[in-house]
Amino acid sequence: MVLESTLYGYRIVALIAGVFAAGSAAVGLYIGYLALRSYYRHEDPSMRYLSIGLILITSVTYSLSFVGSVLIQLRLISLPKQDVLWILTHFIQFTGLICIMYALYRRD
Amino acid sequence: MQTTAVNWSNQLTTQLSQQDAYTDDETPYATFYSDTMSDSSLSGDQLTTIADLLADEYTKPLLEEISREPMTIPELTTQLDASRTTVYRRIQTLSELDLVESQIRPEPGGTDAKAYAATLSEITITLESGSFEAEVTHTDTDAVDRLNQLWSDL
Repeated sequence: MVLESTLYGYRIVALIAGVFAAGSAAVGLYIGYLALRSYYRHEDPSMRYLSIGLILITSVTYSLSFVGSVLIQLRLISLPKQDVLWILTHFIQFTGLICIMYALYRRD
Repeated sequence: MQTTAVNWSNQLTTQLSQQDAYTDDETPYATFYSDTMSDSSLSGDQLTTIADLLADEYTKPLLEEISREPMTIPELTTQLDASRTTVYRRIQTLSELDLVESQIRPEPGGTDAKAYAATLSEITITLESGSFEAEVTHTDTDAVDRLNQLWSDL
């Protein structure tokens, strides 16, 4: 199976996942940035929370899991620490969603 | 030669279709427009209407005002020293011609105000082979405005 083979010592499957994670982080950050610019242009306060929420659920979490997977690949962190990272990722995702929900409800 | 807008607009009766209004070699502008602009050809009737609008004592200053920043009808009423009906009718005609767009402006009090912004950027009028031809260049909204619109429509 090609996915299980390695390239320069890295598993192909991890590399592919990493590429998509980096892509999601970049696109998420861009959409969040558009929302932030919209907040500065139209001064709708709910837009700021939407922006923060979007950046948290996409960019921050994907970056975190991307960094985490790199660290695991390089065997720089132990398994218990990986669990902490896992919880942290989901916590940030949850916070981001709360931000978006708050943005939806605080609108006039 | 008559040069005022009203005079020549009355002569324009030829209907122009989207397709034959311009051929490729007659539109050198196309390559110069940035991608935030969009073009559309006007029919002869629409051109006549626009010419009349620009000759109108309220429409011209109105377009000038809302090309700077979006304004609500009460704001325009004060600014142009015109009646509400006058401003509303001008806005309505401009909307039908796709020269203005409405935006929702959130107000602290709770009721959102409807502000109008000019989408007109340029009108090119040419006389060739017995007919007037016109093309309107619109300023286009960008992704930031569309996101805001999407969000306010939720």
